[in-house]
Amino acid sequence: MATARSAVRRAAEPALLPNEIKPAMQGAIPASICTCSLDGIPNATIISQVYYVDARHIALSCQFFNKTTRNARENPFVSILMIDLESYDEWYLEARYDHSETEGPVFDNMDMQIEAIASLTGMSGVFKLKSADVYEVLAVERRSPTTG
Amino acid sequence: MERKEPRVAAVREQIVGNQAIIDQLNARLARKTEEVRIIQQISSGVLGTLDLQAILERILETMDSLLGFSHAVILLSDEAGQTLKVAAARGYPQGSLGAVVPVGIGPLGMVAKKQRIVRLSNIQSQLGYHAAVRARLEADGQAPRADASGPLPGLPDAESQIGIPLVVKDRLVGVFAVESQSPNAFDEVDEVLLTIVGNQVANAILNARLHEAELARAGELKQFNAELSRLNETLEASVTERTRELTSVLETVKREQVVSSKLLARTAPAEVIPDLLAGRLQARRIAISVLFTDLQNFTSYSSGLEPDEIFSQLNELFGWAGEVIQRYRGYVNKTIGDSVMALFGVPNGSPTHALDSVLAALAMQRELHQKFSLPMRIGINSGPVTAGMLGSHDKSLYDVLGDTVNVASRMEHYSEAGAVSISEQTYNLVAPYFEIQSMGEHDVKGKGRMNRYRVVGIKDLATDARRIDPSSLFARDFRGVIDEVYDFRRRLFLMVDFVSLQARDGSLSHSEAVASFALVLLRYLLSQESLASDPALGLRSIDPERLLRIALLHDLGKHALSGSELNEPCPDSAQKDRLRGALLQHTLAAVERLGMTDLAPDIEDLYRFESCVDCAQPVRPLIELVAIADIYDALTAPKLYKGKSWRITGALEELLRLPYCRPGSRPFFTAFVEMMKPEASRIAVRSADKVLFW
Amino acid sequence: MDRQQTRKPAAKPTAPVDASPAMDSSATAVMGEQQPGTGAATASLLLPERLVELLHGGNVLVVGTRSEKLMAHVCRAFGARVSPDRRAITVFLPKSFSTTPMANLHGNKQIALTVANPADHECYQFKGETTSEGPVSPDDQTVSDLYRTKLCAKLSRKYSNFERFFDHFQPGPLHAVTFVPREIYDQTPGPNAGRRVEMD
Repeated sequence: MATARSAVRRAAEPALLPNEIKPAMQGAIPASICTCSLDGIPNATIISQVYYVDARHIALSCQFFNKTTRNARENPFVSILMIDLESYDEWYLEARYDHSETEGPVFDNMDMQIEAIASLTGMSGVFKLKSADVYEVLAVERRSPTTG
Repeated sequence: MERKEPRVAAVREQIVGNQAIIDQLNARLARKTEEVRIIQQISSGVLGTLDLQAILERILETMDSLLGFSHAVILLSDEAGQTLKVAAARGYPQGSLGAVVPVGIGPLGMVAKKQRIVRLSNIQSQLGYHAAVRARLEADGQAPRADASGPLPGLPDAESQIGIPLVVKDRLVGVFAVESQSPNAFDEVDEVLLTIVGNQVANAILNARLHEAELARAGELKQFNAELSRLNETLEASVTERTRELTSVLETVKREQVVSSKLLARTAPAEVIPDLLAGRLQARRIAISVLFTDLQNFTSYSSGLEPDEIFSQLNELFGWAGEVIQRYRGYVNKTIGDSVMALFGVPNGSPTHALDSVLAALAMQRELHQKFSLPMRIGINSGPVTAGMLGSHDKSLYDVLGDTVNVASRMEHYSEAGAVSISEQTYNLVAPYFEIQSMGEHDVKGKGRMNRYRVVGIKDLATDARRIDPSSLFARDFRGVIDEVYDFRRRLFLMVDFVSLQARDGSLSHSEAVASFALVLLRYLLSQESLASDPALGLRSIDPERLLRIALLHDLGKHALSGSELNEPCPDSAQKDRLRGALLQHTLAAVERLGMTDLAPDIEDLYRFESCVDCAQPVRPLIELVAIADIYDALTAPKLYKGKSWRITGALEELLRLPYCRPGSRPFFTAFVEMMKPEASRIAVRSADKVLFW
Repeated sequence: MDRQQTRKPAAKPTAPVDASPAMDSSATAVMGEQQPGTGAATASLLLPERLVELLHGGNVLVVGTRSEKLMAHVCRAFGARVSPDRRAITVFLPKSFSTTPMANLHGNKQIALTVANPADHECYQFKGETTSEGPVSPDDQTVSDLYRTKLCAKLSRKYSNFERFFDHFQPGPLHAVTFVPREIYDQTPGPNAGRRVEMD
């Protein structure tokens, strides 16, 4: 990993997600993610939901194979920004792509949430979860309105 | 007593004799024997007095008044499993009853189709997202055909929803849901609460349906009617019982609500929450360490401060103390005025509770001056306590009781400012690890006179005669290397808390000892020209910094293993191999996180060499040096589960007895023995299977 | 990639060939050497009007950069300004959170900017290399203030009240970073997601 210059303090153990981060993960303003390809081109994009797996892991839904999923598989270190519209807290995460799941509880829960909404808009066939991409959280930083 | 049909009499006896039969009725309903049909009839009668509609409405009412779920709905599935129909609703306009949801459509339809719980937190923004995609597809002529279903029942602009499938014996009977117009209105605790209530709802529905089916067959059972009516009298009691059961269900729910709010208030350690929620948490007796802190003269100091200033200073103090305590696996039980009471080893016991508590105390004393200008007293005692939830029903707290707590408080009371005082009991558990002074006896109310000890600090590796013999070559010529190693460690690995890591299995200073021994061994070997210049040994190619990094990080993976794995002796060698494998994997992962993947092959080689899977394999000199130092320190250093550590000469004998250490074949081992042995001792016997020091 | 689009701007000889003098007037420090032809006809593109509109509207702006070690970093931009010749974009980054992105851009000029309309999810990504950075001019500050007002108004229509939003969306002092987009991607969720946008 080695980003000695990063402002975010890193410990030997991976960072822990606090409970207060949860409202930001499914926020009304979508989260932003930046990945980087191996040839050094950053890719910034919007993701509608970040799923809480456990205190050390998050998951992103992979509904179609795009640049973000491709980049994460060749260079696993990603950077994510989320905002909680209730508290106005902004959350900055650094994470590492770990693996993809196509079955099991994490996948099923994400699939369930996506299908539930998709079936309301007649889009069940379009929004299909291909895989749940699980990331290990390496750093968490909270940027409260007062500090920022 | 009148004579009864024997069969009926038997049933009657069974029912009247045992109240628990009511619970068993549900299971028996499925059976088709005549006898069971009679019981079914009775059971139906019981349920008939509490009809389904009434049960459902009562449940929703309780959900609202007790738990604050103000928009809740129960839908029942039809026979064919195609649709769900609203059977009870609360918090919706009149006329919601009877509305239909097709299975597979919308969140609740999906819950029914997949028989899985769903929790949604921001429905409107997700709908907007889907609608945007749909609009795009439509513009492209690719949109799937919209379903013809009308609007679904529910709040028009719900943001949050939990839907729970009501399933009995693998059969879906309906869906139970709560909604809210606020985003992120529900969390995991709500999910748990609703699941518990959902189980009750499902059972009520199933019983009511079986009751209906049984009524249809009532004709067949006319011959027992007379007897049954008499039986029903005795069953009045059962009806009451049933009602009481329902009340107790509601009580359970109520208790769980209390629990959930507590969960947020952090009134119990995280590990006990599941048991707490399931009502299984029982008070138990465990051995722990209790730590008290107190700020000297805080009362007079704070008298000159504004109230909000006092609070903010104390909160900062508690936040910091809590962090340190947590770092050493402790749990802040409560704060009293300006003092903190912390528990180590709750809720499940821990082999390192005493060690952890003293390390936390030392860390607090070390860091305090950066936080606060007043000196702190800390007292610790270890011993048995009774742990559990304590307090009145609406305000209970995970707490511990027993003399152990009082003695810890007294230790703090008698402590000098800036010091860490421990009792005899704690002393007995941690003595090998620390520099400790005896502070004499004190009167402790109810306990008589008790010894108090003051912990000065962690035992200094350089003067630890159990690991370094004072007359050895090492002690004489190389002691200064230990400081070099500590400097190196601080420079390179500021972010790794070695003390907290080593405390996990009581191997304090182990990494630093291995690094020091290996480095000194390298220098000692290099100082002997014949060895240093031997290209077969390859000593000059060793990078000392790399050697230090490997030695310091070789068991970093400990943080991921459990306390019992680390501290209980392995029952067999297979288990030991598995544990070593896990430790290696976690270590490699941790080293990778430090950005030092270049060390991975060396660390793997080190583990392979130490486990001696293939003793004939040649091993690189760097690996061998670290392995020698590691094995030696593992033997001589104090460790929790091994009881007494090895004498130095015993450990050296053991080293030379290792399978790959035939006489004369390993010059590094021989040199290490020369370096560490007491000056006066020498090898008396050295044969293929025997080494004895004199 | 080098389609005839790259020649098109040359067909408009009146368009300034240097990367947007209007923008550079506010940007003092030039990062690295200006390569011959940067921002000129070799690769510079004319941004479609529709995208200029999105960039100047109250939409979510996200900036991606990366370090020498290819560590990605994401941050928010508080406003964007397209140069009058429609070849360069200047984004405004809050100084308080821009240590990493600025260090990244000093080491390499790779930048990605994503604009997303929170109301209908229309979304585009611009990829390119920075040409200059520096303090914001009074004009820039006005653009950023306007941006803040527009975004808050848009979000608060749906989710909260305007004043609260406005109060909390304080970027503080800003950096201006100018870059010339080389590639544009349509990232609106749907059938065309990921498709490269052809330029004028």
